[in-house]
Amino acid sequence: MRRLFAALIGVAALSSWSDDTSAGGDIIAIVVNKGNPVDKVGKGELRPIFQTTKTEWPHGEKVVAINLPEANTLRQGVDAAVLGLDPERVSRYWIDRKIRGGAPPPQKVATPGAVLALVGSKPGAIGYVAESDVKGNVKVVARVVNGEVK
Amino acid sequence: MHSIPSRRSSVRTGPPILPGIFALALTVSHRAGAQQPAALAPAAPAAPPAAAPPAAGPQDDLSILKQQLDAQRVEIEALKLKTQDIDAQKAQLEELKALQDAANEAAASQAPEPLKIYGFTDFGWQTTRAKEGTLLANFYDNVNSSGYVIGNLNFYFDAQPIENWRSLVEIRFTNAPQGEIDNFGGIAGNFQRRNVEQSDPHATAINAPMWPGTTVIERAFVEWTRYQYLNVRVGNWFTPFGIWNEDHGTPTLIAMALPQFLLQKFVPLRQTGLMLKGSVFLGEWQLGYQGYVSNGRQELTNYNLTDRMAFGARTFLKRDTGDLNATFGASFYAGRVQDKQVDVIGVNPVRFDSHSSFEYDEWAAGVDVSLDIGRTRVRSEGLVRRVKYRPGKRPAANPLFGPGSYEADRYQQSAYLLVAHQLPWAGLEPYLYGEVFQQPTALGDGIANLSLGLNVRFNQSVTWKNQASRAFFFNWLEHAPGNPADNNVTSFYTRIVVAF
Repeated sequence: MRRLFAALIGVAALSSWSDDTSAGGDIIAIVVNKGNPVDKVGKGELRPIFQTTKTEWPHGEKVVAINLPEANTLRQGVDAAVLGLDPERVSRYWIDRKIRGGAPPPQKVATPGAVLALVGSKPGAIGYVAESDVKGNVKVVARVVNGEVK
Repeated sequence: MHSIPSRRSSVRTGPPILPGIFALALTVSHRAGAQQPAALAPAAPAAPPAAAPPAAGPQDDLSILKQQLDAQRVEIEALKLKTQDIDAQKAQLEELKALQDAANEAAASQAPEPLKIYGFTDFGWQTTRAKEGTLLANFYDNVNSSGYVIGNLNFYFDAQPIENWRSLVEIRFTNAPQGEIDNFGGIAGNFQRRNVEQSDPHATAINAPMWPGTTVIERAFVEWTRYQYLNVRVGNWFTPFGIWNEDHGTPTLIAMALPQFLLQKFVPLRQTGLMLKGSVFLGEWQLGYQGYVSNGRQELTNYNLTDRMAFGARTFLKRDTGDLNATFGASFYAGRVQDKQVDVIGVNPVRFDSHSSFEYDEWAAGVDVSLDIGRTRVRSEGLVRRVKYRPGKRPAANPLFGPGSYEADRYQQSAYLLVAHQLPWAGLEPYLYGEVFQQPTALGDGIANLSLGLNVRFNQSVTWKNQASRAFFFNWLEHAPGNPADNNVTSFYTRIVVAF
């Protein structure tokens, strides 16, 4: 019985290790302000949010999407998993959008710390950080694991 | 500067381990010293023992020392805890400082960027070839000629001074006007280009040449964007009709040559007025709308000549799953177009008669599909326009196309299909474009345009665009004099486009 228990723990440890260190790197946590009543956001909602076409939460609060710089690996991970676009196509997407005169892209901040500070202080904000960095007045509503939104 | 007080502080408040050891050593040496004289002193007659208090024994000394040692240990432990507390506080302070830095940066990011300037420019070469002797070959300067062109030089001034408000102004700088063809002596007379050359009146030389140019307000509007389902836009905006008219700008459009329904202005390209727009999400589908009232066509004036307003709407259903981005739309526009003329019909008192020389009602309706399937892009639009003149307000037809006749009520139809595919190498995107267009003219009422194009995307900002087209004229629903196919034209355009 003890061996079985040890084996189960071993399997659990291995599976959690495989999530953390997969090709996608760290798990990316999509975070919102703790005061946001939304607890889970699916890929179908995240895409228009980070395309700034969905501008309101179901409870009426204005969505404030926050991006990291294009060169940031977390940003690239989210763009690939949520928008389905590589960095070059992402750049083109936003150039096309601004030439069309469409709504501006998400607000951009330089560091994950700034994402946490901004999301923690703005009720409608949504951003992303490495899951290991999640702290403060934010909560996780989705995760990007192995390039998939979960 | 900060290290000095901290050192002092550590001396003052540090654990007194050494003083404790010194105290222990002194106590031990004192006891040794107290015993030494007794051992070294010369022998003296023994005195009777005085009634002195009993001297402390070694056991008592040890007990005192042990108590002192225990006290020191307790003190050391307390100080250790204090040190740990200080370290923890220091770590907390560092963390708070990092958070404060992040918050400061976030606050700086939050500060509204009051004005962003961006835009695009394109420059290139083009040629159009037509059969010598045909109308097109003779009345358009850029037919049977070739040359370099400044395509577009457009600047956007995008101001978002405060949350939920935005103003967007797009200005195109051009080297137009380049003069028009004047007709001296009517249809049988001479046609020649008006000279627009002029001297610079502000130059030091009296004969300094000056190149004329102008600016075009492509759009200029103010927008309130608080709600997903309701935005309000006022100003001058591109007519929301189909895909192409709003996919404005050479960096964004896949092909270079505009569809004929835009060139022939089946709908006004831009209007001035009030627009309500918004969207809701139904699962992964986005249902959007744009509805407006406006001055209508602004080809004669920038303002409305009557109280009658034009109106229109577009609605779309969109689903974007990353690999598949599909948009289905329907658009409508209706308005009245007329001019205004004034005759003085009396002088005492002065009396006027204001009237129009032509008036027509028009409507246009269209549907559109936009599909992005992986790296393949498909765009298609179809529309119909109805023009109906009001009684007694039918103008004379263009003397070149129908001398001596009047404009007829008409339906016009147009549709196009564009398929482009982004190849995985070298930024190559070949495309095919086909368009049919029905409108009664002296050149036939049918035009088909087939194009083959290649876009080369050097990077996200720079694209080299190429398009070769052949336009075919033919009789479709009506019969035009002559052989419409004589007017078939072949064109080639190439542009280097930079978005900035």
